[in-house]
Order: sequence, then C-alpha cells, then structure tokens
Amino acid sequence: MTIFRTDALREDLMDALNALRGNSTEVQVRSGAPAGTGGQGTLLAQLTGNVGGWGVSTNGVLTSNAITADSSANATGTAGHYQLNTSASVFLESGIVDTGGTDGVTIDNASIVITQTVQMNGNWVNTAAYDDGI
Amino acid sequence: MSEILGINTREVWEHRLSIATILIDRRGGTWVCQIWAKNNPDYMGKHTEFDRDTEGKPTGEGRVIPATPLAQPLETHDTKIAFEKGDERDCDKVKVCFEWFKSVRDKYALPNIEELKPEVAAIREIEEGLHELSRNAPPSEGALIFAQYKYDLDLLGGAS
Repeated sequence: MTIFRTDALREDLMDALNALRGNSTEVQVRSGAPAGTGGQGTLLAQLTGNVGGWGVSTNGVLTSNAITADSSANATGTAGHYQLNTSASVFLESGIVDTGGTDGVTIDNASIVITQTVQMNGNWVNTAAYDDGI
Repeated sequence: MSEILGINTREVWEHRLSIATILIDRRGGTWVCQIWAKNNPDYMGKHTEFDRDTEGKPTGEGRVIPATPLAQPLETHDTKIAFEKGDERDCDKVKVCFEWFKSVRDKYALPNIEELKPEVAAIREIEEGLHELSRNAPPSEGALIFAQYKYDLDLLGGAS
C-alpha cells in the first residue's frame, strides 16, 4: 500500500519528533548494529544536543541546532550505530551509522580512537516522507 | 547535597567515571531503570553469507547466519511507574529513577575514579563552553556527518 501525506501532516510529524528529542539530547555513537534497544555495543562517544532545543521544523524537514562535540571519545572502535536518549537518559531511538551514506547517519571515518574529539560537521536533518511507498 | 531535579543525567551519573551508562526504558509499559556496561559485544542481525569465486562473485545459495544474542543490562530496576504518552521528560518520574541510580552508583565506579575526577571536571568545563557556542550557533542545513580530529589539550595522556 502506498500512503501519501499532506504537507501539514509532515509538519506535525517533524514537530512531534522535535519535541520528543528536546534539549541536551544524548547523541551516542556505538559499535555494532542497532537492535531497537539501547545499550548495545561499545559506547565510543557521546555528543550533546543543543541546550536550547533539538532543532527547527519547517515544511516537514527537521534540522537540528548545533550539536556539541564529545571532546574526548570514550573508547576505540568502529562506529556502527547511533543511539538517542533524552537529557535524562530516557531511550528514544537507535539507527545505523556508516560511511556509505546509503542508510541512517553518515560518518566520515568509522574508526574512532579514544580521547579524540568527535563532532558533527553539519546539522542532523530528518525529512518526513511524502509517502511510504512499497 | 544537591537536590535531584530530574532534568539531566549528570545530576546523578558521569559515565566517564563509571564502567557503565544508565538508561531508562519505557517500552514495556513501565519506567525501568537499566545499567549497561560501556563495553558490550557488538550486535549483528540475521544475514546471509556467501562463498565467493576467484573474482569475488558469490556462489551457491549462501548460509543464513542467525542474529547474535542481544547484550543485556548489568542491572535493572522496574519502578512500576506506568508509561504515559508524552511523559519522557516528566521530572517527577525521572527523579524516582535518578534516586535508584544514585543508590547503586558506587558499585560501578571506575577503580581509579579519584584520579580521573579532576580531568573529567576539566572536560566538563570545556564542554560547558562548547554548549554555549552551540546554543548561539545558527542552524544550517547540510550533510549529516560525524567528524573527528585529535584534541589539542593532553587531558587524559593520550591526545596529541
């Protein structure tokens, strides 16, 4: 079944996502694959969402505000997935991180070394789909 | 002693001083506190592996490799507080969880915690400054990319 969404609905979806993530979101970079639960793999780095709020939702596109870097990575390993928690560590979501950019979040270099700084080069962008396709 | 406000994890837990991280999981219908080791085996989902010929092309039907077992928390505590839609930032509920995390925190401290405290305090101070810069930075669209570079200050003896 193919579902088509109005722009108003797409806007509401991203507004809800923005509110859910809130301010000072924990942005964790972990090894291994995501499993829909928190805590999997090794915690490599933890960045922090903007203290003023996750981002701005416009026309069905949610663009994050600046995310604070992890100034000292926690462990050495290969980045495989991300995990988002609220500022109080309530689990929100997890997803793939890879260098190919074909799915999930793109990372420039999946090899993370302990004590390195891990930062965002751009803002986190989520786009509400117009349709779910098949 | 500082009052727990139920707003930020750092009120009760600093993962850089611990062998573990904390998580609050509401997916089962109640607020469950979880303590996770920082180092768990990597999870890999079910997938198919193929033998390959000299040119690297897959041959045969392949073998289905089952998913690896999911890592489990070191410890959990079900607060029995019911999950309600939109309660992810309910400070009163978070406070209950934070009180439990604080009560078990010392069991998971790194063995050299006292040596690390000044260095972690320095990292926190730097990151507070970065938070303020981030707060004031205008949003801009761009490719979502994590990047890395060596940190200049020799905070933990390994950066260069």
